Amino acid sequence: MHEWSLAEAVLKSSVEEAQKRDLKRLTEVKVVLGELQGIEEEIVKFGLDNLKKGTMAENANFIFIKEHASFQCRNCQNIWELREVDLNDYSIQESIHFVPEVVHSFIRCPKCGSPDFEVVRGRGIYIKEISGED
Amino acid sequence: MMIDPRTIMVKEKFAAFKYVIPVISGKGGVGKSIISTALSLVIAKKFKTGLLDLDFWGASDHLLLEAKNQFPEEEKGILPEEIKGVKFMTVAYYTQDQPLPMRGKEYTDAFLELMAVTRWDDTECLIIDMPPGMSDPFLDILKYVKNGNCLVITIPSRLSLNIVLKTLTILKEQNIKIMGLIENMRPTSNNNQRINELARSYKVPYLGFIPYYPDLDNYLDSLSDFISTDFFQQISSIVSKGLSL
Repeated sequence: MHEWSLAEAVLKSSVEEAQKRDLKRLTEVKVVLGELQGIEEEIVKFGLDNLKKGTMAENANFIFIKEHASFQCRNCQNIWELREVDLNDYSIQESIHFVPEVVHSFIRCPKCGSPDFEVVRGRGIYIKEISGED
Repeated sequence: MMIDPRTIMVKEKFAAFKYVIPVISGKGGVGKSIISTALSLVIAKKFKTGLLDLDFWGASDHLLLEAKNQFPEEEKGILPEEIKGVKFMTVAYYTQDQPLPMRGKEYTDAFLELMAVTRWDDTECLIIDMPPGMSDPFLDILKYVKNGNCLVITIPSRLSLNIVLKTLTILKEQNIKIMGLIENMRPTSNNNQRINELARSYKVPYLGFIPYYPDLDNYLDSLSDFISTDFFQQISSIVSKGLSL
């Protein structure tokens, strides 16, 4: 359940950002979950519900937005999506779940075979927006 | 707007250690991995110690430590495998012994990810085995580790010395603490004091030399053999005499 660590990271970063903006309370946090990392939304939500008690985010609504993963080859510029790739092996999925960059150990550009590609979107978790009250 | 939630965790985690010792050199092949691993095993006798292999492109500490070929346990984060008192983390747990070709930007993402979710808990001293050079891994350490005390490794070759001089220059310029300089693979016939003099000129402690052991590689297949080597004893001696911990 390493999602707990990610929930902790989301909470601390949201609170830090709110403090920078002189907010007294957080009301809403939009969190993007990239498809590649395969983060379990329910576990992150469970972690946040527990961790936010007694903080300025206690009553904040955490909204999760799923983002499809896509890649671009730096060699031939080909663009492709995660669903086009055969990544059904559970242990590979788990490896990528922990460290998404190890995707470079397991897939290549479907067009030219290069390992030199970029995860253009849908890599992992980040905070898109926070709202609060002064 | 895009806030990376990992950065705050990474800064907090590094700040929580009493000692953070990045083991660095400009050149590859000077013995950072073997020294980092031995150092962590020796220091673990005195402090709760961790070893983080940040050489993602050339991870090898797991081979020396005979780490398990399976994912570390999870419990509100990732629990590093504990080997002879050393809490150990490496990207090798997740690459399934495949190559990991990636650029610096991706290196930084992997570094942040691994550090953000690893639970070092009450570990007091973290040894970091760094890849060679001054690109993203080196710059990430400058950015995120504010309590680091670097250990610089060189060999007596002119080629290595030329680079180590530049490493010391940038560390000094950035006001990074330098624990000292270790001279590795010194031939028995070599009595020159070049590295000692270099250390003195940069006001960096010269922590000693490790002789060149031509058959050392024969003892790296098993951790117990490695611990029994004269090389390992030299590291123990350097730690007891020279490291200010």
